[in-house]
Amino acid sequence: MRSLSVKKVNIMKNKTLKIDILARVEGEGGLKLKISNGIVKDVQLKIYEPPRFFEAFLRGRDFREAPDITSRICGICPIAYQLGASHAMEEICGVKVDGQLKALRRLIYTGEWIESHVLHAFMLNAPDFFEAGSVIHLAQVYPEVVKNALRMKKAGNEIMVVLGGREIHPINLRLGGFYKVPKKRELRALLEEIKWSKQAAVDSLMFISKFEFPEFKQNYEFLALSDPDEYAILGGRLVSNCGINLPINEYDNCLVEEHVPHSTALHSHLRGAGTCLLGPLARYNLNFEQLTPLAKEAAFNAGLGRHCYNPFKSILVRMVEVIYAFEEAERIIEAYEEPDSPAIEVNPRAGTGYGATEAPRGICYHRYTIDDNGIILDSKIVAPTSVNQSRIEKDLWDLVQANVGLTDEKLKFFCERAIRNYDPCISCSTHFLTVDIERD
Amino acid sequence: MKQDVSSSKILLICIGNEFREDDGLGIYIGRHSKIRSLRNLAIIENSGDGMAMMDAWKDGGTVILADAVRSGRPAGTLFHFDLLKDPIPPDLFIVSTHNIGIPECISLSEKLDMLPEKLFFYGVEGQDFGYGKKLSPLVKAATERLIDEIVADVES
Repeated sequence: MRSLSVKKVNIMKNKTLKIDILARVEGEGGLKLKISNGIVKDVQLKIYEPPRFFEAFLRGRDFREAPDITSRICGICPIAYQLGASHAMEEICGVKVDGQLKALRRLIYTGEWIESHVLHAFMLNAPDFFEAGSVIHLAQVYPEVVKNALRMKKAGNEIMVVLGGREIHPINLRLGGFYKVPKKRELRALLEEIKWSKQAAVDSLMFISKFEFPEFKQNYEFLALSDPDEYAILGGRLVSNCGINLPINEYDNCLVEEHVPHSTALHSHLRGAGTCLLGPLARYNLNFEQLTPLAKEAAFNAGLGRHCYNPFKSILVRMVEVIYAFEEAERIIEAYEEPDSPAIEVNPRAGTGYGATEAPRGICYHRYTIDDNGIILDSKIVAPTSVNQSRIEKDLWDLVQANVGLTDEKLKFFCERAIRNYDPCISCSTHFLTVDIERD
Repeated sequence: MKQDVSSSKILLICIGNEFREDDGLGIYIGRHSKIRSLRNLAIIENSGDGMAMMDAWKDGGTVILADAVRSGRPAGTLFHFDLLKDPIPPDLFIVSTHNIGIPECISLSEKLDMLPEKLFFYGVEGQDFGYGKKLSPLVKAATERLIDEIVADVES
């Protein structure tokens, strides 16, 4: 567990405060704030995890290797990488995965959402609302709540294990489908725990809804995938609340990457239009109508409206998505019939393909070019945290300005909370936190 | 130092990353023929997922954790702790790439009444945590000694 060490440095009239490593985020990074005469002058979310060069070392590799290589980008959301890569390669080779194989892909993705969302909501984010510092303190006051969270997360893990072979970096996914598909009875064995977890998720959402949420709203441009048939997870069109509606192969014309000196992760933002927000809040605001009646009812009972612009309430939205994920898992398992073959054969042909799925933190984009022999000539992968970085900086800018009168200690804690709202995956995006406040 | 691990049912949790040189020594222990030949011993591998570790030990009994240590002590130093009785040196588990490490798992399990009856730690100070599957020679020799100690403690 990383400890929060605080260092104060006085430089002339400027005051600099540092928190060497931000706690309870995935990866390592820092934050620098510059305040002059009560006005925020600069906010820099500094990501210093070393670059990981995945896109470079994919070049020259066989196209079938891309899902397993890219899954190593993240231990929390490997499915996002495996399926993004698979979709892109399948598009190039003219293969469409449908029916039960597509349903199994959606099922394993629900496992990833459950694992990631429950981990973040209870282990990383919930302690913020108690100023408790860690889930250990939370467990002391509300042991049953934490026990239930652990059980829900395990239910997500089990989905990953049965379908993927193991919960971290699953090994059973391949181009065209799976190496081996589960027996009907193997999936049905998961149902009892999934049904218990669905109700536990509803109860947990109600518990979290009683937290005291800071009043803070932002005028976000939400960006998410949208599918006419379902709450988008596996793919869809690129859609925003400000008029974007594009096929995924237009992604590079919509979002551009930029290198900023203070971050080893590229910043990705809307071409000519600034920041946008990906992830649970974006999906909820753009695709609410496609949630199930139970998830919608639970959201309303928790005090969420049809729209939510308060990033501190993203913990509520994550739990709404957990309810939805358990319902989807139940639905898919009950309708499951073993397919004739675990995978569709995918033969290489030269071309460029695109894949994007809704990782727990938002759209995870892949683009590959391969030759006739299936050798990867070029690749581009954009993790959701790369897009959210500049949006986090904008949130922090406005949050610090509105609370500039707080003591440095309180301001730093508030900033860390605001960053955790995004559940940033720094390891993914470096492909991040010290908080450094400078006042004069 | 001999640990009273004798029990009719023992769970060995082998922690580590086999692709990061000495960080893989826990996995090396769990796959060693001397360990595999022990009866009454269940073995699982863990990549450092604290919650999976808690879930594995919540069913009680005697649990042994085997892991690499990176404390700054001389490479090859052996560690043995009764995690429920002995004070854990404060510098032993500071560095963790995972947010919930062994001390946090123990504290959380205590609050949630999920601790096993006995919980022991066997470890070796690593030397090289770079990329690769080989244990460094000095650490490998120390790990072999630790394996003999685990076998002796389990069989006693």
